[in-house]
Amino acid sequence: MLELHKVFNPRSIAFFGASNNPTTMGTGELAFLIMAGFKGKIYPVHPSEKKVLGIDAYKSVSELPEVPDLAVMVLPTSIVPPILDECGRAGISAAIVVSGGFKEIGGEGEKLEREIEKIARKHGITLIGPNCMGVGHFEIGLNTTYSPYDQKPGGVTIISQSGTYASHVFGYTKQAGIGLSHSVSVGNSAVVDISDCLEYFADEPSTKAIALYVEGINDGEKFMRAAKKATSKKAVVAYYVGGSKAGARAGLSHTGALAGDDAIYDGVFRETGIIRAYDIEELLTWSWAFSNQPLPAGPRVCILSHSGGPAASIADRAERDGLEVPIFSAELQKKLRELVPMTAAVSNPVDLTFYMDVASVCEEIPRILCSSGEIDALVIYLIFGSFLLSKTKKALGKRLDFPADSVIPDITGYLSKFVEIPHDFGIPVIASSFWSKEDEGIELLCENGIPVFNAPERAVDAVSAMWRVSAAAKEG
Amino acid sequence: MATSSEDKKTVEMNPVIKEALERGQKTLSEYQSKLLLSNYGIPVVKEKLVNNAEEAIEAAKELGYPVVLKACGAEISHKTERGLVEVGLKTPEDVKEGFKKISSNLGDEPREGLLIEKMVPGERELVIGLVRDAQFGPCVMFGLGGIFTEILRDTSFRVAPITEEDAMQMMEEIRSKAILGSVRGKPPADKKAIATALVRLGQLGMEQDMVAEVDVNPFIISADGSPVAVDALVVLKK
Repeated sequence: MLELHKVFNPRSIAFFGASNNPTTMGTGELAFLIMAGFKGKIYPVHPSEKKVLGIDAYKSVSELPEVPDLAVMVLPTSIVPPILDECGRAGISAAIVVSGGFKEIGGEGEKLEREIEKIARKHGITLIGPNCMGVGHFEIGLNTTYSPYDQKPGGVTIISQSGTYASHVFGYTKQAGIGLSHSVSVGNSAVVDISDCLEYFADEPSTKAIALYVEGINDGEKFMRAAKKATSKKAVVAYYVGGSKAGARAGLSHTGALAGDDAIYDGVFRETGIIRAYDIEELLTWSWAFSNQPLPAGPRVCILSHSGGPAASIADRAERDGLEVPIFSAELQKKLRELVPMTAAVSNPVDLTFYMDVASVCEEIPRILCSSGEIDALVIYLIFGSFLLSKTKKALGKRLDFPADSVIPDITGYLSKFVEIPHDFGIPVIASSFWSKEDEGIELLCENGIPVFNAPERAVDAVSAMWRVSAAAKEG
Repeated sequence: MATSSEDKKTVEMNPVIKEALERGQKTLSEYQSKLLLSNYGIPVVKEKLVNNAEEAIEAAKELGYPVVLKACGAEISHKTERGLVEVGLKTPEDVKEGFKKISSNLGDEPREGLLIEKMVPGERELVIGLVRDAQFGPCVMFGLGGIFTEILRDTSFRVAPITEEDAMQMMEEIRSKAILGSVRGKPPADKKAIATALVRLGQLGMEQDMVAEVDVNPFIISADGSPVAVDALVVLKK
């Protein structure tokens, strides 16, 4: 019986391999664990140090004051088996082996991996790794990886066969504003594999969407079972590599020649309801959209923009992606026309041009659009905050001094109503902006569940992925 | 679809496969391949195995002209390139002539006989197939057939067993799916019949462990929209 709950929710951790040498991986990982604000107890185990990073250290497992929930090992390969055995004998039932030098190097390493697998099975240890980056559960400040997670937790959980995609990507998610719930790098999967993780996160409530990075699957039937369970409860996006050599298998038949891994995996993903992404950015951004937005009920996209270029790009991409950009009814156009400047276009795309009435842009117009019954998703390219006005003030300096308060509106109030739109109408709202965090509105949107993508096309791609899931669910 | 192991009924080895294995064949001949497919209810072209020109003429009369004549044997491949196929034979004379040509091109190569079949009019060629994946087991393929199969690689796969809905989705996934609609005044393809064939091919994969790969190419959409297997190859496990 696997105890993944214990791996992701330990009350106490025995940490092997951290010291007071800041350049080792073990020390770094312990530092990031402390920095993440882990609330449970940490017991560094070290043969000679009395304290590690200021925390009382213990010489061996037998000296620990309690049986910890989880053991994390960043140790030289050869001493992993005896220490794992010691942990098992002491009653520790969950372990993460970060150390490499196992199956991935072949020969002797393969033997060692079989050995630790045997030890784990003997003691009933739920083992993550070896050769992995470990796990994160950010709400409780758990992060055993060699990458700091210093942003708000969110609803995306990463399950990855690459260590980097379960750790270094924190740099990307932070910049983009994508909040993570959990992260797990399964490494060589001696005991726990991606299917076990899928099965666990299918039922884990803070995980709203799963981002899966796959290089290979050993037990196809197990994977399909877990995947179907997960997709029946939440969106699963997968980025698969390793199969672009189509027709890698030699066969006598056409079918054999065409059945490269890529084609088979494509079928597996479609059959299990997994959405396939083709790069890491798609994987993370789509999962993000799935994690906090309702699914579109149909393919009709409304484009709301401050500018013609992005509006045209969104429309073009939408049609390529299998979405529709319907021309609005005369009635809806008339309603919009009354609100916008004469330079604006209202037929869809709705191109507002230079129109900075925040109340109208963030409140009135989107609500009219979403209640029209003519759209299934709202894709926007807008200036959200008032940072351009702030910049204007700075550029003007003494040439034209004006009190900021009188002209620069406080957008917080408007945007906090704007973020309610997806929930009020059951319509997904996906935004895009080139301004990143310079626009003070963007952080507010991201933190309140509206994904803001760094390019307009990316926003449409996400809507298309959502529509595919929604359409497949409709077909049953 | 369901993947649980309860679905795998223990089914006896199909006699066609058994016989071929006993003879040491690595593949089934075209005739045997189609026999196996029709055992699984997959529509195959009307055909007969014949040993001489007289039998061929007799069979042609029964099948109705025009007919196609092909060399048939487990070891015989690249039939078109080697002049072992004669198509569009309209008269008994054509059949006699065709028989002579193929026999001479074949020389004394071992054969089961010559295969005579009714020529299926239809310009739309599909492919359906089966392959056994090391991780996922038998997988069913649907795609664009004929000479375009490996040029365009326009295919869709599913892990067997599959349901009719899975099969319907597979048909939606190929780029050239419009070929299944009513093209140039031709009736739309009978998707339900194609779906049934795909489901049954998956069943074959689940039940017949000794089958490594299956190619049904072309799987032609005939004049009334119904699909029919015109050529087939079953590769056996080593």
